[in-house]
Amino acid sequence: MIPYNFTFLSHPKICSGLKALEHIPFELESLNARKPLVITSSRWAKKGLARTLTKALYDSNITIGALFTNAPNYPSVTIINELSKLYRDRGCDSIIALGSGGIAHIAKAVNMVVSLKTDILKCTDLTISSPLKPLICIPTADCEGGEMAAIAYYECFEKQSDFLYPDVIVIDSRITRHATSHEVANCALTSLAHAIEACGIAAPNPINDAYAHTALQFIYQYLPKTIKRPCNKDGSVAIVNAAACADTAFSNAPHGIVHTLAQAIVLDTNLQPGIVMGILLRYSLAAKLHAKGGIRPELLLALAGIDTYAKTPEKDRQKTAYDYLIKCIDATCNYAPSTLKGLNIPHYKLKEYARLAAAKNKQHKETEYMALLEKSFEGK
Amino acid sequence: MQEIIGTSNKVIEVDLTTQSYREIPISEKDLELYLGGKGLGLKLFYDRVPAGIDPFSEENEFIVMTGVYLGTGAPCAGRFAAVTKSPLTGLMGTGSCGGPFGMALKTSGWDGLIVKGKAKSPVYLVINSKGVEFKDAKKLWGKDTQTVQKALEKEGSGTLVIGQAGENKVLYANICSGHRFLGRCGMGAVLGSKNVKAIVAKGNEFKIVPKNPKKFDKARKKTLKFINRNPITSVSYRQFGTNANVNLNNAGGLLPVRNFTGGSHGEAHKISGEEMAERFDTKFSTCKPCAILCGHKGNINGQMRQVPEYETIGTFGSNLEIFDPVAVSEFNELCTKYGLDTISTAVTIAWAMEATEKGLIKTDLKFGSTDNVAKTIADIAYRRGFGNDLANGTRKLSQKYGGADFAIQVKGLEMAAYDPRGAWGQALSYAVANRGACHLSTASFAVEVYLNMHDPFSLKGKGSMIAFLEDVTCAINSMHICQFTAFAVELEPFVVKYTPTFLLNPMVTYLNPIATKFMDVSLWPEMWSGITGKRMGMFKWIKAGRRIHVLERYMNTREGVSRKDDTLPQRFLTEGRHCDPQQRTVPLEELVDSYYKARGFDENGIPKDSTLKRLKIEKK
Repeated sequence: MIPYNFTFLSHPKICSGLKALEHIPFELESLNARKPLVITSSRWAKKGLARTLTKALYDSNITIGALFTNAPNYPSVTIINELSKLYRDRGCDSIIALGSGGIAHIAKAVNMVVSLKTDILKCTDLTISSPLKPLICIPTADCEGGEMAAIAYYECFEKQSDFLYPDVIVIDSRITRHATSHEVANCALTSLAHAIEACGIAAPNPINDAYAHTALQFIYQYLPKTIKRPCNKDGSVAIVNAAACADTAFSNAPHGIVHTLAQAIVLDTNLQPGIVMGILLRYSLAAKLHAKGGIRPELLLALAGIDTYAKTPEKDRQKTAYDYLIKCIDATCNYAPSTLKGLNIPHYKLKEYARLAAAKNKQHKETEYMALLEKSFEGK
Repeated sequence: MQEIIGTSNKVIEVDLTTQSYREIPISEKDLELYLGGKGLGLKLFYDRVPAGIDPFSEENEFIVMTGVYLGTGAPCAGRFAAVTKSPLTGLMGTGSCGGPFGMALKTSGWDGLIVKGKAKSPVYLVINSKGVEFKDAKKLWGKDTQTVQKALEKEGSGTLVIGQAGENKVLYANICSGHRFLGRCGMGAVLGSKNVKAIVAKGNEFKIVPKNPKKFDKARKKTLKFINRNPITSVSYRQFGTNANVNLNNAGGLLPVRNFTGGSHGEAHKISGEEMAERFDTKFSTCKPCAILCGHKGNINGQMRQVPEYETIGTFGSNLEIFDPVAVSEFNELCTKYGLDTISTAVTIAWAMEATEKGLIKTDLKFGSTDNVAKTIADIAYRRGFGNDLANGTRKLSQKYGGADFAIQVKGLEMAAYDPRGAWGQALSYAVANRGACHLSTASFAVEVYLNMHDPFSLKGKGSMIAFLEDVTCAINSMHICQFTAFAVELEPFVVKYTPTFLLNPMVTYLNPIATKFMDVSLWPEMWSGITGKRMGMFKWIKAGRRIHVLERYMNTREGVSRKDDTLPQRFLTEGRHCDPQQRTVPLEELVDSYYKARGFDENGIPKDSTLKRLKIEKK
């Protein structure tokens, strides 16, 4: 039965698969843009990703306005201002973010500055009421969450707006297959946490659930083999697709306890968010398993398919879904420990993290955050 | 007077919670493996304190170790080491100080002091050969370091004192002893959290005598000869203090300018050692005993004051674009009184200036202006207003307000006054140093820029050079002797002194692991051997240094340190400088890889089991 009330928005067009990069000229022209600013990092430039992109744009009417190959992972005011200036000086009319993590968030922040014609720090309090300049996101498989969502992170700020979705997401195996196993694990765990938290909310949203379920399906099917061989074309494309779906689901749901706590921990420790989320998710799921309606039986349908779902007695579906999810997390065991203690996070810091999380996301009480941290610390 | 032959091998453990104390023996084996000073302090901490404790908890211990050389008449050995868990970095915090407390403690018959627990109300401790007295410090609480030292001068010959910053747990509060400091890592805050205002050692109860006076004296005389012959130790530092570095760094592109955006400045000469020596008519005011005499005091604005050291001049001066040595001296005095680390204070203020400029925060601080700097220092010490945030250091500030790319810190510790883009070995050294952005972990800038012994912009041999220098530095800080003696001991022996630079440079750069084997640093272990009567060869001594360094790293990895923390602020990795036409940035990843390989760490920066086993470090 369809719920009485829900809203859902997914703006980006996803071009995924073979020669997806070659779609970019068409997509740009559809968006009435011909001169993009391309932002990437020195790592991806050295791996030849910028060259692959420029080759894909050869026989087209697209002229690269500027190719910036030294983007750091931290979206600072300095780099945002520098790239905004470059955008204006070169007369660019669109932005292509080639890479995940900070690169995508820098691109979004630059887009706000050049579209709203204001300072990045002023953007934080501004309501975006019209579409920004065209933004194409070409993610690598080292996503840290939020790259393809309606959110931008820069400095210590977080800006949410429906207009912050990229216009087009291009997922091409020539780009996605370069991440390491560790990065793939991080990407998958982030997507897993975002997807589960998005479809575990009190107010059901069937369309959002569909996105979250797709993400889970991709992760369950492709994570083990992609971790083993991150250069696997299908696997890496599937993992990035999962990230895209999870980001959309994440954009249409309130931030969950795992996401909020992981953010607080990552800020202090520089650990990869997915690794932290994976640990917290394990114990969050365990707690939900014992709570009534904690884990939705439909997750089993998404993860295991209709046959297994149908074969499993109704009373066991929640537990079986849980087992499948834990199996996904366990697939990353070589790259992520199973407790916060295993990450060498000192116990005395947990209080601070709970306090920070409670200040940021008031949907949960500090005691709830602390309870999950305590469970995750030693795996109780 | 009674005599101690060699070392007393006993440490006094003070429990503040129960107001009791006891004697703890040091094993001969540990002394041989960890040399003394910093090394033994770390070993004691490792054996006694579990990982993951809160630096402000009762479980944290504050350990002072005097080292083997102190009191024997070894040159430049008036130093002692301290070890604790740092509240600023959350990692092992170590420090070295040339104040009188070390000598007083050692001549009270103790090789070290362990302070644990927490006093119910403010106390100060008086230590003598018989034990410890716990005295009420309520009247001293709230007073500055100089006033407290004066009030306690009759109680003993050496003191450790915290100021208001330590009482208010400013994360980079220091500890004062005479006019020298345990400056870094926030040790003052640890004492403050334990309600300890001061520790006094009576001293002058024992005389320290080497076990083999003949052997010791021979090495001592040779070291002195080298110190008096070396141009850096006998001329530059002796005449102009550590501020002799200003002109050298300005010419070499190492000077921090405007929160490390530039490496040189046209007005830098105004704050140079040469200029200050003339302007302030400086006189020696050093650690005791000392043969280098780098510490100076002078007539500054009609008052006889300690001349700020280079780190203070570099961070409060050029880094804030303040080229007035009188103003910098004023800031130095304030930090001294309040008990604040000048490096962290100044670098934090520089962050605030840049964050203000970029609109991340609103303050009245401005580069090139002395306005409000003194007030900000006081606000930090008392945690007043925005000073409460500044008191947490640049890492916490940038987490709260943004600006992480120009928060000039590594592992939470603010960077000393050498721009890493001017010497890539120094850059690597900052990134991997155990206590954070510490210039003393190797002082590789001297090898690369001052002495031109290693190409500062070559990737070749950097990993093994930094590993070697870290080993030697750890051993030096465990003997315990002044690091500046390295200029004399390492450079004056025949091979190094008489090999022309055009040959020496490529040898050290391209054949580093082999070249370091020819470095003769045998004087240090010879003196150690003369004092303790134990055999200690040069290679065994260097291996002990390596053991100390790797133990500290291993302890840090138990606190969560790994490759992700061996990095530099983004500024150094992406921004070039005006003083460098080639706009060089630091290629850190390659450097870190080569270092891990040289060190026997895995690719994540964790010491391998085989490395720990080879160094006889028991894994916990």
